[in-house]
Amino acid sequence: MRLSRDLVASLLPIYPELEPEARAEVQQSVQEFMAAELTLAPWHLRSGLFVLGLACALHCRLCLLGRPLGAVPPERRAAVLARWERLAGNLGRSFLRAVRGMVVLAFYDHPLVLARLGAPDPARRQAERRAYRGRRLQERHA
Amino acid sequence: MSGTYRIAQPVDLSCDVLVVGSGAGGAAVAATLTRAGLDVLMVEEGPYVPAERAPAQLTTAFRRLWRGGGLTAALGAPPVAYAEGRCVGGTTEINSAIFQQTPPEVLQAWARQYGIADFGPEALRPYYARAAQAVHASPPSEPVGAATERLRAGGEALGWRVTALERGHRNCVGTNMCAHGCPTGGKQSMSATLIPAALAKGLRLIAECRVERLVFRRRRVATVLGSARDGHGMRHPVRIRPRQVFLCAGAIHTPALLRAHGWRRNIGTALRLHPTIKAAAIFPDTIDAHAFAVPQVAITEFMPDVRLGGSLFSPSTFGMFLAEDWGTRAALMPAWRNAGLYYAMVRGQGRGSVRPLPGRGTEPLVRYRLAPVDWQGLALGLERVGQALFAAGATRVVPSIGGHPGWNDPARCDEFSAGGLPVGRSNLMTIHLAGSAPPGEVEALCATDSFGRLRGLENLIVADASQIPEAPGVNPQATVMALAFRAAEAYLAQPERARRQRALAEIDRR
Repeated sequence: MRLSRDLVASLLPIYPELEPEARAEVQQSVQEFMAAELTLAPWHLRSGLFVLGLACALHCRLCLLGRPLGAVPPERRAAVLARWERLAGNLGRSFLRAVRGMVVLAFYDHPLVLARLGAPDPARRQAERRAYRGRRLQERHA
Repeated sequence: MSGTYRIAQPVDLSCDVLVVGSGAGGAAVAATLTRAGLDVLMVEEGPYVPAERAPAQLTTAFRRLWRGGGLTAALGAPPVAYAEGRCVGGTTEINSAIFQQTPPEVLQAWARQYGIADFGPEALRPYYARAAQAVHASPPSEPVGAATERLRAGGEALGWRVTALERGHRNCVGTNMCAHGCPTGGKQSMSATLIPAALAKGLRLIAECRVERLVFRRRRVATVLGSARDGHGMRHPVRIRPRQVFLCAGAIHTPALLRAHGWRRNIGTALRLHPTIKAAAIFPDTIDAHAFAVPQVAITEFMPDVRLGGSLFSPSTFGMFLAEDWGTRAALMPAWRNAGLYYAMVRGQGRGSVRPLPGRGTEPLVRYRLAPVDWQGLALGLERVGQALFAAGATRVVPSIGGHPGWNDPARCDEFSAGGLPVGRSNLMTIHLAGSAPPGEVEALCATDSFGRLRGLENLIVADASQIPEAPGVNPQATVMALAFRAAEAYLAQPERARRQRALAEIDRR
């Protein structure tokens, strides 16, 4: 659980820049998404992610002399994860790529991030498009 | 919807026909049989999510509508990520509703190879027509958006055939949330069309009900056991005694369920799919691909073997594409308004398998191996999609290959034509699965007879994507629906006396 939290913190994109409170909120949301995804994933994929996650955690602890990933500066975290990618072969790379894919997807799906990007809020867009379609159908019937 | 139920206690039900699964196949069967006056019960593993409650965020849609939260893959080298719906309406709730008929020459070849009776372009014509009518298959709604126009312009500039894709929609307003379950009701998925029609004719539908066990007696499915979730998340046992079962759980779960019960002959042994590789294009100007529906044209010059088209785009899907190689691609994220996602899809000749995981009930383990010709097709498709996007004005095209920096020049797009794609670094996906229980009279190849009846069982008919014998080279929803309409009609066409005799015999047995 702690590794998952630290990984999310390490892999969270830096663009667009967010206020610290907003970033914390987005990070929490991404963590919740990750936890839900791991529950829903097919058993064999979930098991694979779990085993590789444990191996990654062990690697990080060894590299950081026992300190957790979240307790070191971001540059150091990035270096430790980059070393994992180099050393862990295809499976290790696939693990990190899968986790990063979920983190990035959830990050850029968050309304606070979308607002900062200048993209429409999804809930508002839904409501607008429903209303627009309703008007079009009414016009057609009229 | 009236007629949908949530179970709050153990139940024991009986019916004329049990339909397992509510996607394109199950809905077509239920609509046909309820119209004929039969007592039809449908069970669906996922929830019912009406348009007015469709999730606004893709991450929520993954959790509520997609199987495995969207984390499903056929294992192999490389693995192929695949997508399936797990909700009332099945995959029709998360796809783009593109409506295409399988090319006549492909249907004819299947009829010959598998010995499928009463099968071919002419025989299927009325069923395709019924499917088209059910989903209101129609040309794209305007405006289609710049992502579509760029693909069209690129293909036409190179002199290639570009085709507008018919979609199952009624007044689509381009919300670009097809994968969320359409929030406006514009997409004519099964939950918007055939399922309400069947409910109006008396269909009983139990959502969040998972089939776990089939009990056989004298070459018949006597009882179906499962469990259903109530409004508080508690599961309750469900016992169903059907006269006839239509298994419509899709190309993965139909074979998994059958194999878990010992039915193995040609079941789950020849899974087919459309291996697909994506490419992102960066244009010098804003195209706002997120503001319109999925690109609604395809370059069909190289069909049925290779099709080039456009994918769903949002900041999150673009980010996920870049995350395949975030170290080198993250810098492209600020250009998201200038970007589009496109693909090359091949009519796969490789084969896969579906097996129940030991000790995990009917949970499937899916494997797939691409044929050498598939790799050639993907390399060629990627080259051509790159050329088309540059012809449309792209300044950079990034293929979905780990560690690839992208192309800045159309002359570089043939990079993989000689040596092929790098197997270990190519990221493949698909949303089209087929072939895991093929129909026909050639018993060495086929799992069922020509109309979906499982050999060795008197009252089980398969009617879903597993009945499409091979990868069709086009979006399969129309063919799934056509085959399901045909299977349901064939069932109804059995002589009434024979059906009555069977029903009486069944009553005697009970």
